[in-house]
Amino acid sequence: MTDLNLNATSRTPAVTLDRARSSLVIAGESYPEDVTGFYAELTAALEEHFADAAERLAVQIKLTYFNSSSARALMELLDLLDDAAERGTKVTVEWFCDPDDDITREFAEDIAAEVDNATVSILDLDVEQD
Amino acid sequence: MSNKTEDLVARIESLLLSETPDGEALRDATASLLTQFRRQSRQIDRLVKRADASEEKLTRANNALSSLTRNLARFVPQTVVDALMKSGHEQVAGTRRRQLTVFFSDIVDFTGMTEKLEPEQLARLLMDYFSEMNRLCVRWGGTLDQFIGDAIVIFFGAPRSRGTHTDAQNAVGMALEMQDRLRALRVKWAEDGLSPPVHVRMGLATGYATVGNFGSDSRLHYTAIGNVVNAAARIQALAAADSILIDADTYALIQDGMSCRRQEQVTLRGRQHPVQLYEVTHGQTGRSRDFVVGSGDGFRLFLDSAVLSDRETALSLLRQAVRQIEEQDDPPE
Repeated sequence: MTDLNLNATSRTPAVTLDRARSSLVIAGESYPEDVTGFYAELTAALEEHFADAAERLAVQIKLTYFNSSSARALMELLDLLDDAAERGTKVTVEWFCDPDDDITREFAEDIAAEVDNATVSILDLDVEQD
Repeated sequence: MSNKTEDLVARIESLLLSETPDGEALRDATASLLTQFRRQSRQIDRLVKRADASEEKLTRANNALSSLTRNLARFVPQTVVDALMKSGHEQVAGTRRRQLTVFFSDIVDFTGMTEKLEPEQLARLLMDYFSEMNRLCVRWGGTLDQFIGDAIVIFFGAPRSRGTHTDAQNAVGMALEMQDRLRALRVKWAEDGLSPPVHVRMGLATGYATVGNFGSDSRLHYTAIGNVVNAAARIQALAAADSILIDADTYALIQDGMSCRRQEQVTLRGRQHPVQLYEVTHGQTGRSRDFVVGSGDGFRLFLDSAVLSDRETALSLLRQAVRQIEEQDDPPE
């Protein structure tokens, strides 16, 4: 089993996929120069995880800022998670949003409304802590 | 197109080009492409919605920033606000040595005025006075250093210099226009019942000063420090009411465009050697006078075109006045 551990940079979030614990955490800010390349690595690791008939995956998204390209990558990610849930993996997503950022909250709520199989919860991000 | 979409399109193209297309495979690939298309349509809708919301938020933030900038200029010199907006903190950070032309003005017998006017009248008069002087300072590109009681300190040459000649010419041009403006304001204030009349002394000096932000970490004041500031204050004190006195260094920079009268040499307090002073008698302010003032038996005129808002009414009244005067000149037989 291969985990994924990407440290946060000024333009990219920290990404931690712990396959033994079946958890994925994405935290920080996301406006990478190469969005496709950055999220492709995560997508490949997740596809590998789901290909191994993973029973569950608990995802936490704690992004304080993401640009439009990252927003698209997140939507692709949610589709991938929803597909996995449809195939039988129990997928829960906790999406933490800055309580003052109504745009991100609305965006997350829109996506959550269209996710059919995974469970998505929108929660308040404690900006001080994260 | 994402990789997945590209793969599906390539697959469908390949199936279509095949001599014996596999109908079931073509249906499956097309169905997958449609699913992908629907997903991407939804993604685009969400992205557009998010972009619109962000744009609206950005516009609101920009408006708030513009309002803040306008208000900021009421507390910090416009030239400093402009420098901050243009190049951030760096241009006004720290201190540096600069050649400046410093302007210093003072109201003659201000103490006497405070005794003769009610506090409300004095406040109104000072508000008028400072507002007008500040307006001219901004127009000529000066940096309003501070108001000290009734005194005004303005310098030219920092944070932005237009060249030492132009800085000095603008400083003197501003002083001339201020005296012009005060002549008009005196008529207005007299009309409003505010007396005694306001007369102002002005002094200017050119030289090197340390300019920049002085104060504490939390509260800074962009100002100039140096002998030239003291010299401007002392030259001002020697000026007659309604006149502008300048030092020899300022005179050297402006003499081509302005008429000056040589004064007797004086020794300024704190200086060892006497200095030559000049009174500015006439200048090319670069702008036409924007007011007309006059009075006599049967007429009184005060036109301030710089602040005139109702042009039609003003023109109508003036035409009516001209018509009446002409009719008087040429009475009907």
